[in-house]
Amino acid sequence: MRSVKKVWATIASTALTATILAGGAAPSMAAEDLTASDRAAASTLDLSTTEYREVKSLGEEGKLELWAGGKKFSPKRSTNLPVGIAAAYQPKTWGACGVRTDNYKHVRTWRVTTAPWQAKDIVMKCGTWTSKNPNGGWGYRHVKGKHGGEWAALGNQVQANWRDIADFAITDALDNIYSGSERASNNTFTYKGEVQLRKYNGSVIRTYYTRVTADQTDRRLITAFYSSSR
Amino acid sequence: MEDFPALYEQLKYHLSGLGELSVHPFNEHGAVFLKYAETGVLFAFDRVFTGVMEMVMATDGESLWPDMDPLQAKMSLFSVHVYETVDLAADGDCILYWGSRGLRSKPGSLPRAVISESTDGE
Repeated sequence: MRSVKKVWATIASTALTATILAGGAAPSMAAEDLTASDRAAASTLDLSTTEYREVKSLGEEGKLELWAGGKKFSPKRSTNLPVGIAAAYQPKTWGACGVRTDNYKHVRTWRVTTAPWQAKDIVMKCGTWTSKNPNGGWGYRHVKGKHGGEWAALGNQVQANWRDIADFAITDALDNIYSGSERASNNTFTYKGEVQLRKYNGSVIRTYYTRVTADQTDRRLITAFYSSSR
Repeated sequence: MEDFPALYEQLKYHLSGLGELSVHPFNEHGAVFLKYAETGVLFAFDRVFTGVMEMVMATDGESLWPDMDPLQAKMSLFSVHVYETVDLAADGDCILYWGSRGLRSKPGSLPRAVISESTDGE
């Protein structure tokens, strides 16, 4: 009889969460000044409340910039670029997806410049996602429904809507691919890019890493989101 | 649930690009875990295997991949949703739950479970 080895490990039921109050004091004024919406945005942007207050203040003064791949995000209506800006990115307009619009209606096409799909297109279609079934989803509707708030949190810092920021970040991920990963098990490929939130003087506040996942068969965009972890 | 072992093996394959799926105890009512390979974090779904499969069936993957077997398409799209969720998880998050905007992560207590590992399947 072959030997049998059994390893038993109990997964701890101990709560992993802990509340840490610095110095045991009441919440700081910085936290009190922020609305629930602000705190959610700070969490999304991976900023402390103190950092977020500064970012919010700079954003309201128009002193924040988004950069990716050597290009500065420039809102559509901006025509006067600052002196010294080598290149600016002006987002493309996306096709509209109404409630009754066909799932396969074209929204936006990106021409990929780097392997594995160089000189081929990745296509965003309306796709699926509804508030009644938030568990479904791919394409524009999924990006808007599940990640629209995250893109908006970034866009709000530079007075831009979520679509323009998503367009900027997705274009960077497909133009200047820093890395990618193929998943044969689910027929997808994920491209990765990076976007930097900077102060007007050029100092980087945070770098966010964009992920764009498309299917390998038709190269349809499934999802696009960002996080502060590489 | 019909053919739990077969469904488990299929779901395990579709999530294999992310990490290792396990169910404890090994039946349709067992707690479902995913050890995310990139970070080593152990996540637990907030429902048993049958509950997770219900969410798999809601992913409408067949509209994305109409030429694929419907179940395989659903599992493939589900795995993309899991990927984006664990990739967005904050430090300390270990529970995968379904919120108003789909699959999300949050901190919490992992379900009490026992993991067994057998080298020869006795």
